[in-house]
Amino acid sequence: MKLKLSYLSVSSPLILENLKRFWSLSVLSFLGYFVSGIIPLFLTYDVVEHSYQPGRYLITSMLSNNYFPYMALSLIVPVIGAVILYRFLHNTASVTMIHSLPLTRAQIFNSNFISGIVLIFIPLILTFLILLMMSKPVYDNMDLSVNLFSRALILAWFFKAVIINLFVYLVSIFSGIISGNTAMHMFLAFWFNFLLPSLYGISIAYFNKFLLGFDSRSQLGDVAMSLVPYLKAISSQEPYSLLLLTYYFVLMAVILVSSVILYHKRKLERSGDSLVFKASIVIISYLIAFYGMTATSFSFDVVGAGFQGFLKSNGAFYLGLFIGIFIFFFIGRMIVTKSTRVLNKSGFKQLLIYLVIALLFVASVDLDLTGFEKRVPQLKTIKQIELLGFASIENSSRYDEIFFVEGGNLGNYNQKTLFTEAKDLEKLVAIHKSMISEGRKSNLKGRDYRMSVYYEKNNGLPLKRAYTVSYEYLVNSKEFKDLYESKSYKDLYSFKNLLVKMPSSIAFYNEYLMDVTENQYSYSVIDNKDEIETLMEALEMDYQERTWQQHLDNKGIYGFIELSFDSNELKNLSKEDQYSYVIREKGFSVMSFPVRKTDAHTIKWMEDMGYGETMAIDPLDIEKITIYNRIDWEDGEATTITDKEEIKAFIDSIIREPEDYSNYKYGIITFKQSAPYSTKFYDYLLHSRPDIIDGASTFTVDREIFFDTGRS
Amino acid sequence: MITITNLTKRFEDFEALSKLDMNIKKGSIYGLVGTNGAGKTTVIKHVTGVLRGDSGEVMIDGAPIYNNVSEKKRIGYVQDELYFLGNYSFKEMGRFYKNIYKTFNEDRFKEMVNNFDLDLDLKLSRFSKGMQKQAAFILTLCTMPDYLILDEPIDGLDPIIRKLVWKYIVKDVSEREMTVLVSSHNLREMEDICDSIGIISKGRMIIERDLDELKSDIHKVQAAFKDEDMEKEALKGLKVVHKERRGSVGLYIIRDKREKVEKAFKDKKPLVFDMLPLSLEEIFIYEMGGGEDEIEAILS
Repeated sequence: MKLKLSYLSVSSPLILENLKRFWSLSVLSFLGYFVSGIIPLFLTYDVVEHSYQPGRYLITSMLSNNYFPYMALSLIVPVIGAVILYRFLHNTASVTMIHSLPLTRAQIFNSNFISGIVLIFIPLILTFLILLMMSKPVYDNMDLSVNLFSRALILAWFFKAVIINLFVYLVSIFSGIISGNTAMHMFLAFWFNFLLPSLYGISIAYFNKFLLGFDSRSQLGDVAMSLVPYLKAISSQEPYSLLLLTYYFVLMAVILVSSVILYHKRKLERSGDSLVFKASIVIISYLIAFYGMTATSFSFDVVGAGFQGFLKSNGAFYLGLFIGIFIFFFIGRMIVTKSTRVLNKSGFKQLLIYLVIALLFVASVDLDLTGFEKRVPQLKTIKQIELLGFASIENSSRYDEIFFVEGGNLGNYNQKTLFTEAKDLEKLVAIHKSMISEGRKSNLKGRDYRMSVYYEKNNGLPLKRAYTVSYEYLVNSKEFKDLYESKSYKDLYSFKNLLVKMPSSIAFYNEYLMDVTENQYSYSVIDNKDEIETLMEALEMDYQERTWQQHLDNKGIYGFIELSFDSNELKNLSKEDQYSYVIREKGFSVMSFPVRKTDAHTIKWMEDMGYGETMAIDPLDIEKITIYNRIDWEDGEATTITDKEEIKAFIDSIIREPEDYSNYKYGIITFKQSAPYSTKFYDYLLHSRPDIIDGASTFTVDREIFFDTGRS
Repeated sequence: MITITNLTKRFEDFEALSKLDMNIKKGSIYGLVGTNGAGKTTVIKHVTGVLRGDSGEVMIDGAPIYNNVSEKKRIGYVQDELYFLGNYSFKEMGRFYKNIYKTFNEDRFKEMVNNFDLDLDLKLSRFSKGMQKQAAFILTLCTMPDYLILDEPIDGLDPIIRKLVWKYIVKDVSEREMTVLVSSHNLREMEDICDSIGIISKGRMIIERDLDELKSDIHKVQAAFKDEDMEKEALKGLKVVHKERRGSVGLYIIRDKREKVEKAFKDKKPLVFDMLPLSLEEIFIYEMGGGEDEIEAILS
């Protein structure tokens, strides 16, 4: 008990002395909070309830920890606090004087620690109290049930701010304990506060480069930003979860205990050096080398991509890696040893050790020593699989989950496909294995697609993989075909499962025919209920009968359909769905998708109902097509087509996207004076691969503003 | 009593102290002498509990000093490289010492400030180096320490102030039995004030002696005899530390009772006989055999 108490004891004279010496930090900090936050709020306080008042945005950003001055103070004040309070450790005279006083090391550490807490938190508490006194109902424009300036929100802000300040302060103290001088203390304090996220981000960059299937997008955002409370607060307005809070408190406890232990072990005679622990000298120099080698290797990799052979196939990366190691290892040594004499036996010995560690790390990732790339869960261990990116191949909102019953996550607009049935899981695993076999296509040209496979296993553990696959691979994939043409998949996006069963109106148009003067397509709109029902039936039949190859067909687009849903239909929905729909409706009330030339039922319906002309371009209306080569982003020589058969072949073979953006052709269509669009300027996006065009393997017509000079 | 036993301290590859022993008697003034870099400040930082040895013990009255608040309260330390809390005036620094040391004597503080003629309201950073040293002396002596540790205290002080400082120190030693450890690179400065001297070189204690004991019963004699047999007869039975000839005159360093030495020489009717005083440097040189480079360096 005595031992425990001795570790907790403080020196009140030392605390009082610290407060007398450094009170200006608190004053400046409070002024920062007051001038940047409270005063502007005062100025708009009387009218802050009104919509679009700047005060409202100030309140929102302040209380969500997104207000720059407040976040800057949360970073700078604790760092400065730690630096001035532990500066005595970084000077021979002061360290000797303080440690010769009748105080234990625990008393010195604790007293300075508590002094800092008081200096940092007094301004924060005052700001909190002022905000509490100022709080009043300020309702959200979007949702009148939400008070933006409630006491609960102010308390939540204060709680977050306390955790952020405490974390930054503890990290800064730890930096001071291992530093030998104030400059190094300041440098480490800022660096260490972002060390974990940056190391995580760098590791992700290596994994992303070398590991086939590594899904960086799913992990970077969530995990890296959550590693420290500061970044988490900036990236998310949500309160810290219980799990995250536990992690932060454990991490802070570890940092505090480590600081105390290291302070007791600190050799005071090393004051003035850059770093006082041998281990920290090694670790910091290695970290500097790690950052440096990463920067150079990835920079070289980008440059190397423009070359062929060795440089293109990771040669440039490894060249950059070695150069980075040599340069930054010795720069790191110079910093940590405060000497330019680093090219010595000890330096080269440390370099050799680092070289081995660095190469082991990179090689273990490059050679996939952990078997990451080949890992596929066994079927019986899988609970469910999501396939992201599959439905979005079409690049339309036809498969957007928000339109469908059991659509899933609000705010997550990634189209995804979720399966739990054994027969479907089998198909998904086959797709995953097929993508692994396909491997990494480092030189994908034209269209490629990102497919993510997210497993949830029976034991609750996830497994996430993502692959970039080529259009050619997809077209020829039996596994993808099996999935797309399966009943399970067709059911998932059947119109029978629409959240609102029938659209209130349907528009159709040809996206290539655009009235530039009015900046809109030439629409035909139907709102007749019978017509809508019969068209929906036709669309559903086409969807159910569509094959995988038809789905992927790059040409043969007949026209476009837009289904508009009416919120009046909400009365038939559950309360939860009504709420969801209201949110969704703001941006997602229109489903838009292409009609293919193979959609026989829909085209027949159009022609039967007399809407065919809206969708089709008649070759007889075209006077000429001017075709340009575009090689390496430059326009080349133009060719003009006037022959009717050639024009028809051109129109029939339109493709939506080129396969190689560095080498393709595009055209501009000039309509005859007698054509129905004759008095308009037209903007055409035409893509084609007609046999009559020689040269490039792909032919496209890009979006160009066309002016028919034949008319005035 | 301060006892250092077998103290070793390494700074990386450099051995600053090597199995060092030191004993400082209660109520004595101990002079720690050595060249620059010999390890004096390192020893002092161990005695004040600032540094912790790699091995060995540093005890004050039988208790280890490191992290021992009750013992550290009894120590007053004037360091070589002075440090005062940033931007503090002399008065504010006095208040800080008063808060830290319960034994701080305010009356003495006022008296000493007056005697040393220092401005209480002036910031210590505005003081000259010598004035800062005086301020440090005053602050430390006002804590009424049982042990006063002074690292190179004379540097920067003029002779009058030096005398005043020593006056206070000697007074505390005599009245309160304060023990003093004072380091210097100059043996001559230590001669008049110290009771004991320790000479340190390259982190090792070369010699440690009580000055009274060292100075008593050691004599420098110049004498000439008719023949060598008479000289041999005269020196027979005396403890001769050193002997050399300068022409016909012999120079003898003898550790023995004065009367015995006088009688031994005079009985042999020397042609020349003279007993001369020995300086502290000479004593150390002869004690060490006269050839130790470290001693020569200290005395030079």
